Amino acid sequence: MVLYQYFKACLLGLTRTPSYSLLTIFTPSVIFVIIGVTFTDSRQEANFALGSFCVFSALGVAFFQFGVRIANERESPWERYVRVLPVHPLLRLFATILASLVFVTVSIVILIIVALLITDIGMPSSSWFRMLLSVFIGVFPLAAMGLTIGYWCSPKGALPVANLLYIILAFLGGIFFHPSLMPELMNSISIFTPVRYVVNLTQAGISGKPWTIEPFLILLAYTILFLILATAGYRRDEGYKYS
Amino acid sequence: MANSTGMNANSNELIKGSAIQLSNIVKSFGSSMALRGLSLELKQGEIHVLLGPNGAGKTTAIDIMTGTRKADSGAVSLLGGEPRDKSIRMRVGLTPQESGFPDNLRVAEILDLVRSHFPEPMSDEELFTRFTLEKLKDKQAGGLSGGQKRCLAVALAFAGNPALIFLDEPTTGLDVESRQNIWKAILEFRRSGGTVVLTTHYLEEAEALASRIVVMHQGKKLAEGTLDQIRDLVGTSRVSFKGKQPVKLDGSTHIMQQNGRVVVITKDSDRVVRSMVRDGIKFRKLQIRPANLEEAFFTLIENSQQ
Repeated sequence: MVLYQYFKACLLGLTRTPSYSLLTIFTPSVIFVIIGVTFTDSRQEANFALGSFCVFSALGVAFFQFGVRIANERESPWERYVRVLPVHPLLRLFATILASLVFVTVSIVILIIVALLITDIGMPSSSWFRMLLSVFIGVFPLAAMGLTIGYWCSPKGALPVANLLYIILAFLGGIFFHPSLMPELMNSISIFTPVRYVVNLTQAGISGKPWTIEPFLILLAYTILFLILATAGYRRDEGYKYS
Repeated sequence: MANSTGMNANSNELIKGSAIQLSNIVKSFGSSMALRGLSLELKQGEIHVLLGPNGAGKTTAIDIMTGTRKADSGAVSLLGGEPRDKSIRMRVGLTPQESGFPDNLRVAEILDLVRSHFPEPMSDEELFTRFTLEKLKDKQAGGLSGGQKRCLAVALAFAGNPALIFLDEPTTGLDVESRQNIWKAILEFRRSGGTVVLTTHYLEEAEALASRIVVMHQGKKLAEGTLDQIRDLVGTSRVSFKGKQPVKLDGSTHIMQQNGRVVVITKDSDRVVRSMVRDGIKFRKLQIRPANLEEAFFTLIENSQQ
């Protein structure tokens, strides 16, 4: 099956050169250790931070492991070959998103272990479940954004673009501090970013508040939007650009 | 009933007719024109060899046939359809250029990935044996030699059991055994009704495989026909002898040195010999034979420039 083959090829390619993947996988944990020591006064605060950093993991994997890598490999003879094989671009994009789910999972597992070791996190199992579900749902729009970067940026341009968006989205999305602490202006921009929607979902999950349908629909809309953009980038590439 | 059968036969005939049609294709890269109004019709069931010097536009022509590049103007029909149409691509086999593969995927994994795109792919075992990949199947592509990568690249073109295969210099840098294997696979493919379009630098390869030849020069078609027709078209002979290379000879189209002999390509060997005698050129061990493809080629290009 084509989808499975692309998924497998993507995973194998990345796991056989682990040095490439390790940095993206560990970065959230390392930053969590640095910031995490300040979360000692309240358990719930640490829980929220963990949820946010899980989203941060998803963002890093999406942007660097997939976005930047795709941009780098786009002009390779192999990519040019694969683009003329009979496969719909969406199928390839979807296989990449599935592969990024695997990497996000690994990154999150490490993060949770670190959090358990250095902070006082703890929540009911329903909260754990809802937090993780939020992150996995969040992988789709974020990975689609990463793919858009990958198929629209030049090999040289992708890294700076990904870096910049990574930092901006992490801050705006309320990953490093609770969104309630944001200045008014920042908050009014923040609420439109996909990262903020995912962070909000994790926090509702952790604190046991019911979810509404609205953020899911908006994340779905973001996913579709970025998949359309990524597909357009892929199509634009179909052998037409390089002369 | 009879009517519909007739229709069917007719449309089959049509489909069987041409595998590829290019009409008036123009393609330029920046300021240089790679194709200057190339028109071609390549029939099904043949091994078409595109010949021409470097820069003649062979690879660009193939890229346009396969939909890898888009022409600036002109029309392309591949197996009766649009080259980028998925259902058309299902019936076409290609090799990656420069034999580029993901370094850390194994040979068998790469074959599986490509095979999975096609409804009735060739089995792993058949690919391994046909293209001498049996011993390499568990090797990562990054560890393959140049020749091994070539074999894998060619195997990928066959992997999907397509109706039409494009091979851009399939045996460059291969040892004799691998080359023979690939030639065998190509000839077998044609016997089973397949169409092949290939470019090559080796005239030996063209002479061994081609059922039809297209000679290209400066982005245009110079001549087209069977091997014999191309030879006859130019009707060239090769006069060779030991001695000093003359600067000019009456009636020659091309003079060169080869293996310590002077080789003169000509349409009129009698005239060349007469002028050698008349000019008092000292020669030993004179030989005259029909020119091979490469030599015929010089004449074609020479003629087109006059």
